[in-house]
Amino acid sequence: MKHSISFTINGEKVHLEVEPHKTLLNMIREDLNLTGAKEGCGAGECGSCTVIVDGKAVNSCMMLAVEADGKEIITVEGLAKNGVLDALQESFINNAALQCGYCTPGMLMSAKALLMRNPKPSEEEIKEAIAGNLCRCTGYKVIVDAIKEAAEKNN
Amino acid sequence: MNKFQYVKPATLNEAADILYQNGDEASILNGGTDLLVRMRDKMIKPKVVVDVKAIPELKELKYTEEEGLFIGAVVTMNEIVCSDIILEKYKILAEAAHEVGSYQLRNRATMTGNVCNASPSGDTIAPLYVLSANIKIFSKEGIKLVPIDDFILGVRKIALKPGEIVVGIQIPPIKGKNGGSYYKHSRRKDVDLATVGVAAFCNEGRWKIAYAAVAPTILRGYKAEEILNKLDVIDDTTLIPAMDAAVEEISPISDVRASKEYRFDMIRISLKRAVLAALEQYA
Repeated sequence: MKHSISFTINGEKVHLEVEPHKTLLNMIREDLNLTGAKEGCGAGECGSCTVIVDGKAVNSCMMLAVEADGKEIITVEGLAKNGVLDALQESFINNAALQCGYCTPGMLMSAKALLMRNPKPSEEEIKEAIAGNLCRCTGYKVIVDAIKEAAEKNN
Repeated sequence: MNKFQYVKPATLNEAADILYQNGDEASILNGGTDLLVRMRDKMIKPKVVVDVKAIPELKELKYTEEEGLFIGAVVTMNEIVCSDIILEKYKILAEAAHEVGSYQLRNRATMTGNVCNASPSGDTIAPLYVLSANIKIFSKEGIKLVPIDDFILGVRKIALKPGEIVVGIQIPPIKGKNGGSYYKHSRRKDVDLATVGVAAFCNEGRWKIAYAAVAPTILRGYKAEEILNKLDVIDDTTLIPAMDAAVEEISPISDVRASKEYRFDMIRISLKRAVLAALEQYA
Protein backbone atom coordinates (compact mmCIF):
# COMPACT_ATOMS: atom_id res chain seq x y z
CA MET A 1 0.00 0.00 0.00
CA LYS A 2 1.34 3.42 -0.92
CA HIS A 3 1.50 6.17 1.69
CA SER A 4 0.62 9.76 1.00
CA ILE A 5 3.30 12.08 2.41
CA SER A 6 4.00 15.82 2.42
CA PHE A 7 7.32 17.48 3.08
CA THR A 8 9.46 20.44 2.09
CA ILE A 9 12.53 19.93 -0.06
CA ASN A 10 14.90 22.81 -0.85
CA GLY A 11 12.12 25.21 0.13
CA GLU A 12 9.44 23.63 -2.07
CA LYS A 13 6.39 21.83 -0.72
CA VAL A 14 5.94 18.36 -2.15
CA HIS A 15 3.14 15.76 -1.92
CA LEU A 16 3.98 12.23 -2.98
CA GLU A 17 2.63 8.70 -2.90
CA VAL A 18 5.45 6.35 -1.84
CA GLU A 19 5.90 2.62 -1.31
CA PRO A 20 6.98 1.85 2.29
CA HIS A 21 10.10 -0.05 1.17
CA LYS A 22 11.53 2.91 -0.74
CA THR A 23 14.42 4.69 0.98
CA LEU A 24 14.55 8.47 1.29
CA LEU A 25 17.59 8.43 -1.02
CA ASN A 26 15.75 6.54 -3.77
CA MET A 27 12.73 8.83 -3.48
CA ILE A 28 14.93 11.93 -3.81
CA ARG A 29 16.77 10.51 -6.81
CA GLU A 30 14.01 8.64 -8.64
CA ASP A 31 10.80 10.56 -7.85
CA LEU A 32 12.22 14.06 -7.56
CA ASN A 33 15.13 13.68 -10.03
CA LEU A 34 17.54 15.26 -7.58
CA THR A 35 20.57 13.09 -8.28
CA GLY A 36 23.16 14.95 -6.21
CA ALA A 37 22.93 12.58 -3.25
CA LYS A 38 24.57 9.27 -4.18
CA GLU A 39 24.44 5.70 -3.00
CA GLY A 40 27.89 4.47 -2.06
CA CYS A 41 27.74 1.69 0.51
CA GLY A 42 24.05 1.64 1.44
CA ALA A 43 25.02 0.88 5.03
CA GLY A 44 25.85 4.18 6.70
CA GLU A 45 29.60 3.98 6.28
CA CYS A 46 30.46 6.25 3.34
CA GLY A 47 28.18 9.28 3.73
CA SER A 48 27.74 9.97 0.01
CA CYS A 49 23.93 9.95 0.52
CA THR A 50 24.04 12.62 3.26
CA VAL A 51 21.17 15.14 3.22
CA ILE A 52 19.86 17.51 5.89
CA VAL A 53 16.54 16.59 7.55
CA ASP A 54 15.09 19.11 10.01
CA GLY A 55 18.51 20.77 10.32
CA LYS A 56 20.39 17.53 10.93
CA ALA A 57 22.72 15.62 8.61
CA VAL A 58 21.47 12.06 8.06
CA ASN A 59 22.30 9.14 5.79
CA SER A 60 19.34 9.13 3.39
CA CYS A 61 19.99 5.50 2.41
CA MET A 62 19.12 4.46 5.96
CA MET A 63 15.85 6.34 6.27
CA LEU A 64 12.56 5.33 4.69
CA ALA A 65 10.83 7.79 2.37
CA VAL A 66 7.64 7.53 4.47
CA GLU A 67 9.61 8.84 7.45
CA ALA A 68 10.08 12.13 5.58
CA ASP A 69 6.42 13.02 6.15
CA GLY A 70 6.23 16.50 7.69
CA LYS A 71 10.00 17.06 7.49
CA GLU A 72 12.11 19.79 5.97
CA ILE A 73 14.82 18.42 3.70
CA ILE A 74 17.81 20.11 2.09
CA THR A 75 19.86 18.41 -0.61
CA VAL A 76 22.98 19.65 -2.38
CA GLU A 77 20.70 21.09 -5.10
CA GLY A 78 19.28 23.46 -2.46
CA LEU A 79 22.62 25.05 -1.53
CA ALA A 80 22.94 27.54 -4.42
CA LYS A 81 20.43 30.40 -4.23
CA ASN A 82 19.29 32.23 -7.42
CA GLY A 83 22.26 30.98 -9.36
CA VAL A 84 24.77 32.00 -6.68
CA LEU A 85 26.82 29.21 -5.14
CA ASP A 86 26.90 28.70 -1.38
CA ALA A 87 30.10 29.83 0.37
CA LEU A 88 30.96 26.15 0.91
CA GLN A 89 30.64 25.32 -2.77
CA GLU A 90 32.85 28.31 -3.65
CA SER A 91 35.51 27.27 -1.15
CA PHE A 92 35.47 23.64 -2.38
CA ILE A 93 36.24 24.98 -5.86
CA ASN A 94 38.90 27.43 -4.61
CA ASN A 95 40.66 24.70 -2.63
CA ALA A 96 40.33 22.02 -5.32
CA ALA A 97 38.57 19.95 -2.66
CA LEU A 98 37.12 17.53 -5.17
CA GLN A 99 38.37 15.25 -7.88
CA CYS A 100 35.89 12.61 -9.08
CA GLY A 101 33.10 14.38 -7.19
CA TYR A 102 31.21 11.32 -5.99
CA CYS A 103 31.59 12.14 -2.30
CA THR A 104 31.23 15.91 -2.77
CA PRO A 105 27.44 16.31 -2.31
CA GLY A 106 27.65 14.31 0.93
CA MET A 107 30.72 16.24 2.12
CA LEU A 108 28.97 19.53 1.38
CA MET A 109 25.82 18.52 3.26
CA SER A 110 27.75 17.29 6.33
CA ALA A 111 29.70 20.56 6.28
CA LYS A 112 26.56 22.64 5.76
CA ALA A 113 24.82 20.98 8.73
CA LEU A 114 27.92 21.67 10.82
CA LEU A 115 28.00 25.37 9.90
CA MET A 116 24.26 25.66 10.51
CA ARG A 117 24.65 24.47 14.12
CA ASN A 118 28.13 25.85 14.71
CA PRO A 119 29.24 28.76 12.49
CA LYS A 120 32.77 28.78 13.96
CA PRO A 121 33.87 25.15 14.18
CA SER A 122 37.35 24.10 15.28
CA GLU A 123 39.42 21.81 13.07
CA GLU A 124 38.54 18.94 15.42
CA GLU A 125 34.81 19.70 15.03
CA ILE A 126 35.16 19.80 11.25
CA LYS A 127 36.87 16.40 11.30
CA GLU A 128 34.16 14.99 13.55
CA ALA A 129 31.42 16.28 11.22
CA ILE A 130 32.91 14.65 8.11
CA ALA A 131 34.25 11.49 9.77
CA GLY A 132 31.30 9.62 8.23
CA ASN A 133 32.09 10.83 4.70
CA LEU A 134 34.64 8.83 2.75
CA CYS A 135 36.73 10.37 -0.03
CA ARG A 136 38.88 8.03 -2.13
CA CYS A 137 40.70 10.50 -4.35
CA THR A 138 41.25 14.06 -3.14
CA GLY A 139 42.24 13.31 0.44
CA TYR A 140 40.82 15.10 3.40
CA LYS A 141 43.21 17.99 4.00
CA VAL A 142 41.91 20.22 1.20
CA ILE A 143 38.32 19.39 2.20
CA VAL A 144 38.99 20.46 5.80
CA ASP A 145 40.71 23.62 4.45
CA ALA A 146 37.69 24.38 2.27
CA ILE A 147 35.27 24.08 5.18
CA LYS A 148 37.53 26.28 7.33
CA GLU A 149 37.60 28.92 4.60
CA ALA A 150 33.81 28.91 4.23
CA ALA A 151 33.43 29.25 7.99
CA GLU A 152 35.80 32.22 8.01
CA LYS A 153 33.77 33.88 5.24
CA ASN A 154 30.59 33.32 7.24
CA ASN A 155 32.04 35.27 10.11
CA MET B 1 14.51 -4.48 0.19
CA ASN B 2 11.44 -6.74 0.31
CA LYS B 3 7.98 -5.19 0.44
CA PHE B 4 6.36 -4.66 3.82
CA GLN B 5 3.51 -2.85 5.50
CA TYR B 6 4.53 0.35 7.36
CA VAL B 7 2.62 1.39 10.46
CA LYS B 8 3.24 4.27 12.84
CA PRO B 9 1.25 3.78 16.06
CA ALA B 10 0.56 6.86 18.19
CA THR B 11 0.30 5.06 21.55
CA LEU B 12 2.00 2.23 23.46
CA ASN B 13 -1.27 0.24 23.52
CA GLU B 14 -1.64 0.47 19.77
CA ALA B 15 2.00 -0.56 19.24
CA ALA B 16 1.64 -3.51 21.65
CA ASP B 17 -1.45 -4.74 19.76
CA ILE B 18 0.29 -4.61 16.39
CA LEU B 19 3.40 -6.34 17.76
CA TYR B 20 1.31 -9.05 19.45
CA GLN B 21 -0.81 -9.73 16.34
CA ASN B 22 2.19 -9.97 14.03
CA GLY B 23 4.69 -11.75 16.30
CA ASP B 24 7.93 -12.66 14.52
CA GLU B 25 6.75 -11.04 11.29
CA ALA B 26 6.93 -7.56 12.81
CA SER B 27 10.09 -5.49 13.31
CA ILE B 28 10.34 -2.29 15.31
CA LEU B 29 11.77 0.66 13.38
CA ASN B 30 13.55 3.14 15.63
CA GLY B 31 16.59 4.95 14.16
CA GLY B 32 16.78 2.32 11.44
CA THR B 33 20.57 2.28 11.28
CA ASP B 34 20.74 -1.47 11.94
CA LEU B 35 17.27 -2.56 10.79
CA LEU B 36 17.33 -1.03 7.31
CA VAL B 37 20.82 -2.39 6.57
CA ARG B 38 19.72 -5.89 7.60
CA MET B 39 16.53 -5.58 5.53
CA ARG B 40 18.46 -4.35 2.52
CA ASP B 41 20.81 -7.34 2.78
CA LYS B 42 17.70 -9.58 3.16
CA MET B 43 18.98 -10.98 6.44
CA ILE B 44 15.52 -10.20 7.79
CA LYS B 45 12.26 -9.89 5.89
CA PRO B 46 9.60 -8.42 8.17
CA LYS B 47 6.05 -8.23 6.81
CA VAL B 48 5.19 -5.33 9.12
CA VAL B 49 7.54 -2.50 10.13
CA VAL B 50 6.38 -0.66 13.24
CA ASP B 51 7.77 2.88 13.44
CA VAL B 52 7.71 3.80 17.14
CA LYS B 53 8.88 7.40 16.80
CA ALA B 54 5.41 8.92 17.31
CA ILE B 55 4.87 7.42 20.79
CA PRO B 56 5.22 10.25 23.35
CA GLU B 57 6.60 8.14 26.27
CA LEU B 58 9.54 7.04 24.11
CA LYS B 59 10.74 10.60 23.53
CA GLU B 60 11.44 11.44 27.20
CA LEU B 61 14.88 12.16 28.59
CA LYS B 62 14.63 12.99 32.28
CA TYR B 63 16.44 12.81 35.59
CA THR B 64 15.09 12.71 39.13
CA GLU B 65 17.02 12.30 42.40
CA GLU B 66 14.80 9.34 43.39
CA GLU B 67 14.68 7.33 40.17
CA GLY B 68 17.80 8.47 38.36
CA LEU B 69 18.03 8.80 34.61
CA PHE B 70 15.46 7.71 32.05
CA ILE B 71 16.48 7.67 28.39
CA GLY B 72 13.44 7.14 26.15
CA ALA B 73 13.76 4.57 23.38
CA VAL B 74 13.80 7.09 20.51
CA VAL B 75 16.29 9.54 22.07
CA THR B 76 19.20 9.68 19.62
CA MET B 77 22.91 9.20 20.33
CA ASN B 78 23.62 12.85 19.50
CA GLU B 79 20.92 13.98 21.96
CA ILE B 80 22.68 11.86 24.60
CA VAL B 81 26.13 13.23 23.68
CA CYS B 82 24.83 16.81 24.10
CA SER B 83 22.60 16.30 27.19
CA ASP B 84 23.74 18.50 30.10
CA ILE B 85 22.40 16.13 32.76
CA ILE B 86 24.14 13.11 31.18
CA LEU B 87 27.42 15.03 30.81
CA GLU B 88 27.18 16.07 34.46
CA LYS B 89 26.07 12.82 36.09
CA TYR B 90 26.64 9.94 33.64
CA LYS B 91 29.55 11.12 31.50
CA ILE B 92 30.51 7.54 30.57
CA LEU B 93 27.23 7.26 28.62
CA ALA B 94 27.89 10.41 26.59
CA GLU B 95 31.40 9.12 25.93
CA ALA B 96 30.11 5.74 24.72
CA ALA B 97 27.31 7.27 22.61
CA HIS B 98 29.95 9.41 20.92
CA GLU B 99 31.86 6.27 19.91
CA VAL B 100 28.99 4.99 17.73
CA GLY B 101 29.33 5.33 13.94
CA SER B 102 29.54 8.80 12.45
CA TYR B 103 27.93 12.18 13.20
CA GLN B 104 25.07 11.69 10.73
CA LEU B 105 24.50 8.15 11.96
CA ARG B 106 24.27 9.42 15.57
CA ASN B 107 21.50 11.77 14.45
CA ARG B 108 19.35 8.67 13.86
CA ALA B 109 20.79 5.84 15.99
CA THR B 110 19.43 5.38 19.53
CA MET B 111 20.80 3.80 22.70
CA THR B 112 17.75 1.54 23.02
CA GLY B 113 18.33 0.43 19.43
CA ASN B 114 21.96 -0.34 20.26
CA VAL B 115 20.83 -2.47 23.24
CA CYS B 116 18.05 -4.28 21.32
CA ASN B 117 20.42 -5.04 18.45
CA ALA B 118 22.45 -6.92 21.11
CA SER B 119 25.72 -6.97 19.20
CA PRO B 120 28.69 -8.17 21.29
CA SER B 121 30.50 -4.98 20.24
CA GLY B 122 27.62 -2.55 20.91
CA ASP B 123 29.43 0.53 22.27
CA THR B 124 26.81 1.73 24.73
CA ILE B 125 25.98 -1.67 26.24
CA ALA B 126 29.09 -2.22 28.39
CA PRO B 127 28.67 1.20 30.08
CA LEU B 128 25.02 0.32 30.78
CA TYR B 129 26.19 -2.92 32.48
CA VAL B 130 28.48 -1.05 34.88
CA LEU B 131 25.76 1.51 35.65
CA SER B 132 23.32 -1.36 36.53
CA ALA B 133 20.81 -0.15 33.94
CA ASN B 134 17.32 -1.62 33.68
CA ILE B 135 15.34 -1.99 30.48
CA LYS B 136 11.81 -0.60 30.85
CA ILE B 137 9.34 -2.77 28.95
CA PHE B 138 5.67 -2.10 28.18
CA SER B 139 3.08 -4.76 27.45
CA LYS B 140 -0.69 -4.95 27.91
CA GLU B 141 0.03 -6.54 31.33
CA GLY B 142 1.86 -3.42 32.46
CA ILE B 143 5.34 -2.00 32.82
CA LYS B 144 8.31 -4.08 33.99
CA LEU B 145 11.98 -3.37 34.59
CA VAL B 146 14.50 -5.99 33.49
CA PRO B 147 18.22 -5.72 34.45
CA ILE B 148 20.27 -5.32 31.28
CA ASP B 149 22.27 -8.51 31.88
CA ASP B 150 19.01 -10.50 31.99
CA PHE B 151 17.65 -8.66 28.93
CA ILE B 152 20.55 -9.51 26.61
CA LEU B 153 20.62 -13.27 26.03
CA GLY B 154 23.14 -13.72 23.22
CA VAL B 155 24.22 -12.38 19.83
CA ARG B 156 21.16 -10.46 18.60
CA LYS B 157 19.01 -12.26 21.18
CA ILE B 158 17.00 -10.29 23.71
CA ALA B 159 14.29 -11.14 26.24
CA LEU B 160 11.45 -9.36 24.43
CA LYS B 161 8.25 -11.30 23.78
CA PRO B 162 5.65 -10.56 21.08
CA GLY B 163 3.50 -7.68 22.25
CA GLU B 164 6.31 -6.19 24.34
CA ILE B 165 8.02 -2.92 23.51
CA VAL B 166 11.01 -1.22 25.14
CA VAL B 167 9.98 2.19 26.46
CA GLY B 168 13.51 3.19 27.37
CA ILE B 169 16.48 2.67 29.68
CA GLN B 170 16.31 3.41 33.40
CA ILE B 171 19.59 4.04 35.21
CA PRO B 172 19.69 4.27 39.01
CA PRO B 173 20.84 7.50 40.68
CA ILE B 174 24.50 7.50 41.74
CA LYS B 175 25.24 8.57 45.31
CA GLY B 176 28.69 9.60 46.45
CA LYS B 177 32.04 9.89 44.71
CA ASN B 178 32.14 8.23 41.31
CA GLY B 179 33.84 8.15 37.95
CA GLY B 180 33.58 6.05 34.84
CA SER B 181 35.02 5.63 31.39
CA TYR B 182 34.55 3.53 28.26
CA TYR B 183 37.65 2.63 26.30
CA LYS B 184 37.10 1.45 22.75
CA HIS B 185 39.97 -0.18 20.91
CA SER B 186 39.24 -0.10 17.18
CA ARG B 187 41.09 -0.05 13.85
CA ARG B 188 40.08 3.51 13.06
CA LYS B 189 38.71 6.35 15.14
CA ASP B 190 35.26 6.70 13.57
CA VAL B 191 32.76 4.48 11.77
CA ASP B 192 34.24 1.26 13.14
CA LEU B 193 33.13 -1.45 15.54
CA ALA B 194 35.06 -2.15 18.72
CA THR B 195 37.81 -4.75 18.42
CA VAL B 196 37.80 -4.77 22.22
CA GLY B 197 35.94 -2.48 24.62
CA VAL B 198 36.12 -1.97 28.38
CA ALA B 199 33.76 0.02 30.59
CA ALA B 200 35.06 0.89 34.06
CA PHE B 201 33.05 2.56 36.79
CA CYS B 202 33.98 3.27 40.40
CA ASN B 203 31.50 4.39 43.06
CA GLU B 204 32.77 5.00 46.61
CA GLY B 205 35.77 2.75 46.02
CA ARG B 206 33.73 -0.14 44.56
CA TRP B 207 34.53 -1.03 40.94
CA LYS B 208 32.37 -2.39 38.17
CA ILE B 209 33.98 -3.58 34.95
CA ALA B 210 32.40 -4.80 31.70
CA TYR B 211 34.09 -6.16 28.57
CA ALA B 212 32.77 -5.71 25.00
CA ALA B 213 33.49 -7.68 21.81
CA VAL B 214 35.20 -10.56 23.62
CA ALA B 215 32.25 -13.00 24.09
CA PRO B 216 28.72 -13.56 22.67
CA THR B 217 27.42 -10.95 25.12
CA ILE B 218 28.96 -8.16 27.15
CA LEU B 219 30.70 -9.72 30.18
CA ARG B 220 31.04 -8.36 33.70
CA GLY B 221 34.63 -8.50 34.93
CA TYR B 222 33.93 -9.87 38.41
CA LYS B 223 37.50 -11.07 39.05
CA ALA B 224 39.06 -7.80 37.94
CA GLU B 225 36.54 -5.93 40.11
CA GLU B 226 37.45 -7.97 43.19
CA ILE B 227 41.14 -7.20 42.71
CA LEU B 228 40.54 -3.49 42.07
CA ASN B 229 38.30 -3.19 45.14
CA LYS B 230 41.21 -4.30 47.37
CA LEU B 231 43.76 -1.87 45.93
CA ASP B 232 44.81 1.16 47.98
CA VAL B 233 46.80 2.71 45.18
CA ILE B 234 45.91 2.22 41.52
CA ASP B 235 48.70 2.78 39.02
CA ASP B 236 50.45 1.08 36.08
CA THR B 237 52.13 -1.47 38.37
CA THR B 238 49.37 -2.31 40.84
CA LEU B 239 46.94 -2.77 37.95
CA ILE B 240 48.81 -5.78 36.56
CA PRO B 241 46.90 -8.49 38.54
CA ALA B 242 43.56 -7.02 37.40
CA MET B 243 44.84 -6.99 33.80
CA ASP B 244 45.83 -10.66 34.15
CA ALA B 245 42.36 -11.44 35.56
CA ALA B 246 40.69 -9.80 32.56
CA VAL B 247 42.47 -12.23 30.24
CA GLU B 248 41.03 -15.17 32.21
CA GLU B 249 37.49 -13.76 32.13
CA ILE B 250 36.99 -13.39 28.38
CA SER B 251 36.38 -15.87 25.53
CA PRO B 252 37.08 -13.97 22.30
CA ILE B 253 36.94 -15.32 18.75
CA SER B 254 38.98 -14.48 15.67
CA ASP B 255 37.05 -12.50 13.06
CA VAL B 256 37.56 -9.87 10.35
CA ARG B 257 38.59 -7.28 12.92
CA ALA B 258 41.19 -9.21 14.90
CA SER B 259 42.49 -12.60 15.99
CA LYS B 260 41.52 -13.92 19.40
CA GLU B 261 45.19 -13.75 20.47
CA TYR B 262 45.25 -10.03 19.65
CA ARG B 263 42.07 -9.54 21.67
CA PHE B 264 43.62 -11.37 24.67
CA ASP B 265 46.52 -8.89 24.51
CA MET B 266 44.37 -5.83 23.94
CA ILE B 267 41.95 -6.56 26.79
CA ARG B 268 44.82 -5.98 29.22
CA ILE B 269 45.76 -2.56 27.92
CA SER B 270 42.11 -1.59 27.38
CA LEU B 271 41.28 -2.44 30.99
CA LYS B 272 44.22 -0.35 32.20
CA ARG B 273 43.26 2.64 30.06
CA ALA B 274 39.58 2.46 31.06
CA VAL B 275 40.40 2.23 34.79
CA LEU B 276 42.92 5.09 34.71
CA ALA B 277 40.50 7.27 32.70
CA ALA B 278 37.71 6.46 35.20
CA LEU B 279 40.02 7.53 38.05
CA GLU B 280 40.60 10.88 36.33
CA GLN B 281 36.83 11.43 36.43
CA TYR B 282 36.53 10.23 40.03
CA ALA B 283 35.08 13.03 42.15
